[in-house]
Formats: sequence, structure tokens, C-alpha cells
Amino acid sequence: MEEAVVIIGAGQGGATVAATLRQLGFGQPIVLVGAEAELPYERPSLSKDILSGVRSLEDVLVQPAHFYDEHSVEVLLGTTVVGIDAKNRVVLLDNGDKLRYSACVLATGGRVRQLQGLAPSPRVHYMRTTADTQRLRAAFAESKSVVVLGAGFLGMELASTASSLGLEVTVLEAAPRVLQRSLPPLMSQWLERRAAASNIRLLMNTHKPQIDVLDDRIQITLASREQIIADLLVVAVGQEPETTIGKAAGAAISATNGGILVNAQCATSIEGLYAVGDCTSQVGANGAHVRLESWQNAVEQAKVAAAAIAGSPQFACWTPWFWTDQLGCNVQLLGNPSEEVTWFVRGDPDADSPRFVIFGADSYGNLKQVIAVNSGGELRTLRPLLEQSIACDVRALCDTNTSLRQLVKNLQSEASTPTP
Amino acid sequence: MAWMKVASCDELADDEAKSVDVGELKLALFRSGSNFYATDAVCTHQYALLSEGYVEDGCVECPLHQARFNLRTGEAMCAPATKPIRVYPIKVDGGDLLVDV
Repeated sequence: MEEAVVIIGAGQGGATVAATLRQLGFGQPIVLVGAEAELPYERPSLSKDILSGVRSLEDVLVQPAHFYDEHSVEVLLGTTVVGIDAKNRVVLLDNGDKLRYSACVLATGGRVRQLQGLAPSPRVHYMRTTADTQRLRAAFAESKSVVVLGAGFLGMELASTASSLGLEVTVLEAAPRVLQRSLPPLMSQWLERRAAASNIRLLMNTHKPQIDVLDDRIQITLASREQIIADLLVVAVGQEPETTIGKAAGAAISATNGGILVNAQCATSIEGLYAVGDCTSQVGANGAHVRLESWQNAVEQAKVAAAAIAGSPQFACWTPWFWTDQLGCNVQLLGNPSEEVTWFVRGDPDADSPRFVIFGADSYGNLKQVIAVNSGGELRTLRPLLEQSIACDVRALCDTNTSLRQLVKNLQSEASTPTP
Repeated sequence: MAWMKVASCDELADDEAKSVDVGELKLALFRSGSNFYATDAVCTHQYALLSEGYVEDGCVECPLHQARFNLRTGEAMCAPATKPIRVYPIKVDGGDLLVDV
């Protein structure tokens, strides 16, 4: 049996490894193995258009269905990998089959964090897969109210979609504000105002509420003794990296964040074994172990791994970029959250159809993080300033009468002009 | 051949875009370098107006998820787009932009 590149995990990362290999002219066999029943699809859509029913899974496939045959990528769906024999370069499948590999890529993603001590019930939902989404969608159709546990990206999107479908929504969160790890206070407050305007009830600083899952309802008792009754509970308290197979194969795991350790080429500690996406831990600035859970990270790491496997390794670095669609707005983040910045605003956050950008700049005028609401094109325009550390007069960026594109072009041109 | 005037050249600065309605068609017009381009207005990946995207080097990046399209051929150049956008012949006549719909 000819050796193939075996990709474990048929999600965003896995599909992108396969597509990139073919784009680079890699001609050897490729096998893509996925535990789910569906072709690779874009997971971010699950909490948004798929849950609301506006789009179907076919609309959000990573590659069109005919891509795999056309490019000689063998896809094994509904198939679980039970182990990797790294010494002999063999992947073992749950149906007893063995796949010999020249290179193997772990693109296993994450596993939802479960709440301990909750009895399984059709009233309790988690979200990771399209199957989860279809179950929740069906439950929404029969429900009037839902409690969402967790005000991170997923929790807020789920709350937003539920509200748009007419359900009464309560969000419980331990932190003092929504999306605390990712947003500055002014953005959290802006989202909280919008949530309130959508009749979503946000209860921050809620620690370990008592949750009772009854036959006919969910009953939550807060520290204040207030009781919240709802038809459904959706738990969105994060995920763990899915590293079972990699760990069993002997790959080194980060003690800090539990991800599979990879180098700049996405190679693990085991020869011939790579890893990409949510399951990995990569080395960030100052040697820190960093786990990035984003669409961009899965795609960019997949491209790097494919290039390494195809024999033309690249050295890529990218500015973290993330989007969320919630409460009727597209919100994009570029750069990393930082405490040591001052925030400036371009545009009017409280307009009925808001379009604005906020800039987090250090004292030298370097932009560290930029957040754009319904203004993705402007965010992209600003990217060179972050990537190339071009300092600027941030107040000038706030003048909505001037074109951001023209301002950035001028700054780039000044930055590349030698000082006399 | 149905050439329609859709805008005047000086409505578009370099690396700028705007959307125009031509009958029932919604188009996006672009200037990049010394060339003009016309495409369908909506990204093939998800509903977003390409006229609000980022224009550079004869390509546009969708404002929602940065899917990049070649403005001359309509080809989808990067994820998450996989389907090309439709492009229309465009020409300059005096100071006017005409598109063949």
C-alpha cells in the first residue's frame, strides 16, 4: 500500500492542509480522516447562520463536495483514529484498517468543556458539531426561553441567535463583563448595551450557580436566591484541545495550556508528525506557549504544515485576526489585547446601524489592537500599521472626514522614506 | 452587447470601490492601478458587499472574512471563498465608465 500523507481531523485545518498540498503540486496520495459524518465545513457558521437556519451546511463547506475526488484526496468520514504507531509510521483506524504514512498531520481541534455533575438531558446542550447545532435548532423550535452559560464568543453568539429567533435569553457569566479576555472595557460595555436593547438579560459576576435539570424545565438558583426558569440550558464554557491520539503517540504536550507542542513548521516532537489548529500550542513572543482558537490560526498553520511536508518550508507570521457576528453586527479584532494602550474611536458606536473602529495605541502611537464594527474593509486597511509597527497620530485616524486608506498610504510612504 | 454608463471615472480614486445598481443587477466598481473593473456586488462566500472591501493590486478582499478575488478574472484567490465572482467587461469612454451587462 503506497504511503500517503494522512491527515487526522476533517475540519478547517485538515481540509486546508489537503488543499494546500495539492496547490503546491504535491502528487502523493492524501487521506483525510474525520470522525464526523460530514465533509469539512466551517465551524464558525454553526452558532450563526446554521443555527438560525438561514444557511445550510452545503453553503459552508470548506471545499465544494467535488473538490476531493477532483484532487485525489481520499476522505474517510465517520471514522475514528484509535492510535498512531509513530515508529512504523502507521495510523490505526477504528474499523481495523491501517494507513501507512510518509507524514501525518493532527488536526483534531478541540473538545467542549463539560459541566460536571449535570445529568444528561435533552434540555442541556453544548455546541461543537453540526449535529449539536441541528439538535439545538430543533430544541429552539419547541422552546420559549434559554439560559446560556458563558459570555465568551460562542455564548454571546448563541444568545444573539436565540434572541433573533424569538426566545427569551438569559446569559450567566462569572467574569464582570462580557468577552473580558478579548475586549477592552469600552467594547464589553458597548456589547452589553446592545444585548440589553435585544432583551437579552446578562448576569455577570455569577459564580457557580446551582443548576437543576428537571423533566419539564431548567431551574437555576443564584447566590441572591433568585430563581431563573427556562426551557433549555446551553453551556458555552470553552474547550480543551483534543490531544488524546497525539499524546498516546508520544508527542510533547504543553504543560501550560495542554496543546500539542509544535515548532514554526508545525512539526511536533515526533518525526513525521505535524499538528495544526485548535489542538496545538505554539511558541509566541518571549517564548511563551500560546494556544490560538481561531479560523485564521487553523488556516495559516495548515498552510505552513503543508509547505513543510511538500518540501518547501515557509516562515510565516501573521497578526492575529478574529471575527464574531452577534447582535446584528460584524465585529472584527486585529492584534492582541493589551492593557497598556489608550483607546480612540473613529465613528459613532451608538448609531442605529453602527459602523466604527476603535484603536488601541501605545504611547508612541503604535497600534496594538484594532476593533472594527461593520467595517471590515477599514480593519484590513490598518493592518500594515500593526504588521510594520508604523507609529502614527492616532487622533488623525479618528477623523471620519479623511479616508483611512489615504492616511495609511501616506504613513507607509513616510515610513519607507529615509530620514535625511 | 449592452454598454451602460455606470459612473464617471473621477468618482473612483485609486484602490477605491463603489456599488452601483444597473437595472436589477447590483455591481461593484473598482479602480486599481490604472485599471477599472466591474464585478457582481456580493461575495460568493457569504453576504457582504465587495464595494466595502479592501482593494489592492487588482484584487479585492471581502470585508467580512477577507476572501480575495482577482478583479480581472473573478477567480477566488484564497479561503474562505471557493467560487469565483462574476466579472463584467468595462471600458472608459471620455470621462465615463461603461459596463457591458
